[in-house]
Amino acid sequence: MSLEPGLISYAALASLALSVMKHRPTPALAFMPLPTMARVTGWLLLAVALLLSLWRFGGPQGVVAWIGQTCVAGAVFVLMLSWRSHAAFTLAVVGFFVAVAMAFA
Amino acid sequence: MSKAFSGEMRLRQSMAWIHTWLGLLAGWILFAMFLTGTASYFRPEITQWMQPELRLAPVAPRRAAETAVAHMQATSPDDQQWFIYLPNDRTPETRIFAMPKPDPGAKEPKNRSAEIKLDPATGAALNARDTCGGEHFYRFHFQLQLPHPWGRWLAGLCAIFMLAAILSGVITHKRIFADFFTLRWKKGQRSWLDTHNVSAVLALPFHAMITYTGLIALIVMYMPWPIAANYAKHADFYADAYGREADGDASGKPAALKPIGPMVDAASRQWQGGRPRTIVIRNPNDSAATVTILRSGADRLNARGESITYSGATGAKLSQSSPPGAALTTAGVMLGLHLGNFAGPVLRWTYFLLGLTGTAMVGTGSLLWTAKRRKPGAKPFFGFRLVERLNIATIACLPAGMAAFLLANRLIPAGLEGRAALEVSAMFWTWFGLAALTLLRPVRCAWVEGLALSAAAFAALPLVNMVMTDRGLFTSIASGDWLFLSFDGAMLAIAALLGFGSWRAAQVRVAPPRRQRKAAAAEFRPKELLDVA
Amino acid sequence: MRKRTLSQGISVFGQSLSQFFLLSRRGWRMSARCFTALVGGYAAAAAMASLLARLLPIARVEATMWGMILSFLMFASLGLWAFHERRLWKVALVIWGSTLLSAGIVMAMGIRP
Repeated sequence: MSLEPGLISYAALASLALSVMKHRPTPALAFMPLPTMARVTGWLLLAVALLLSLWRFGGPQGVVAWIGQTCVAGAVFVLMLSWRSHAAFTLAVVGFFVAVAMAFA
Repeated sequence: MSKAFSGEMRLRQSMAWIHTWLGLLAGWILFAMFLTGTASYFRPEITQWMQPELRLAPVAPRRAAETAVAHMQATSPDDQQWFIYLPNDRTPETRIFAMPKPDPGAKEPKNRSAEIKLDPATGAALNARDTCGGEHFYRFHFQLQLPHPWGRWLAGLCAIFMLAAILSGVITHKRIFADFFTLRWKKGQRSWLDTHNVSAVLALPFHAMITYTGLIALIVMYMPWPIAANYAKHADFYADAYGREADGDASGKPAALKPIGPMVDAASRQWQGGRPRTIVIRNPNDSAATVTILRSGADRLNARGESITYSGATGAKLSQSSPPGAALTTAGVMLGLHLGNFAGPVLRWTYFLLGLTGTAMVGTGSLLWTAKRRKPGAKPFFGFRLVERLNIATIACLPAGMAAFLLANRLIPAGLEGRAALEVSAMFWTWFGLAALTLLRPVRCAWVEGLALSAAAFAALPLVNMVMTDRGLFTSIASGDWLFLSFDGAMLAIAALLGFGSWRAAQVRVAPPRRQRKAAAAEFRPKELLDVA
Repeated sequence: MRKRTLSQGISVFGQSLSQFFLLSRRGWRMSARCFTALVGGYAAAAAMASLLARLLPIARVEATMWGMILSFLMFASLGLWAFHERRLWKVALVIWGSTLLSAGIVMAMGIRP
């Protein structure tokens, strides 16, 4: 069940969303990083997701899996964001830790 | 600055205009192609679901090849070509497509035979209900149920329209990064635009890939001209590219076909244990017979595996595919990306979800067109009514047709002659029949009822399955039958999605009250999508 | 003086033809543009792809395949440009011109030895 890249990508996209003023939720989250910090974290997490995908799926398939899972994560995030924005960001944090746990399991 | 600005604006304008027209002309066919194509990612699973009586044990490739050839020798030894798909981990049966010898007197070439499915252990016909299975959705996806070659040409035309629509869509989308995550609900036209943009942009790599690779999949049919520039004989290109002579002619001298087993073993040895996937026997029982064995590339991106060609009459090796260069590898990888055969379960579901996103992109595009032009109180022009009705006929009714295909499989008696064709008819009768019925209803009711019926049809599937077979939902849970379990789950999920659509369609208010209409009119200044003509 | 009479004559002929086919001048222009984009675009892509395949100094099968792969991008781009460029004469010239030129060169060169 190699879903870690997707979960990390979800967190990455959530972080990137926080770097855009338009998508920062109001009322503010419990922990709200600065826009620049959020953007850096977002790109970093995307890179981590890619590396994880390469590790899990191997070379070329890993790239395909990374792109595919990032796209699906994006769709899920946007749907969550438009429905319950706070839950969308909470899910990002939860998903990140689940992915870390799965990666080391 | 202003000159450059207006130039950019004019580009956006023209691209918006052509994007709209491309979407209008090809949208409904593309919706059908996307939906059936997405289903095709589970083609073998659907086929297995549609033959619930079948419980085949895995069989070695050599044995499957031998029984397949023995069956074909016994039934139709004078064919022009046998295309044998050996069983694998997702498809337990042997599948054969036979091409009969062209009749020199006949004006038109004979159609390819229907798919022949065999028990790989014995070579006997399957002891299960006759069905097209998932193959039906797969073939429809690129042939559109039209006679050869018109179906493929039409599908290809729609595919190039799709490619142009993607390019023009990206050019015309003004704030592609700022609007990356924007999705606003219950704002009429703006919501449809957001959904269209989000489904298009978020999965843009997939959509661009699937469209371009779709064209590449039938590249020799769509673009044979470069071959003519470089090769005197078309067949030489095949020999160079794939290491075998395609469409070789029979010599007319009969010669018994050598046993296939040793050839399969020899190929496997040459590939250091690699597994054969398909065997193409050209002109069997002729002295010019060729046996081409293609290697399974199930774990690699390149769909075109290596191949070795043997003489059918002597058993000697004639040729083999050489390691492909960059261009051939690119084409092979493109085909592999489109087919997704390399994908494991996680990736396969990813493909499926992305395919649904693509379907949503196409569908919301058509819905956006009508949403933009709907003027409450004014009489709609003919084009508007046509598009609106075609939207309902495709988006609300095609899912019902697909469900009907699956329902027919359970409801038509297993032993009935010609039941496979009846199942296919059920899909089209239901699809077009329901579409015709929706014409009798006002638009909003048609949406609500059409989507509701589609939802009901999908929800009925697990129930009908439980009643008509011994592999119902609870039995599957008890026996750990993952395939049937996930199938039931998927059907219920699709039913829920369609039901949600029907419910939302029922919520739409017909005419907004006065106060809101003024604000809406002020908001609907078409900044994002400009019509030029 | 003669040129103007000739062009006037053509224009009158064109107008009566348009009236006969119940198509306005704009309709004719749009039809011509669509035809050029769709049929001409395909022809141009096919011809240019063939030229590319013929000229690329790499292995024959590789050159052929590259031409085929890139042809769809050429077709889509030409088709889009045909609706962006305002001047119809320019669209026709570029698309049909490149078709004839490329096909001409390929045929003149003959099949790759």
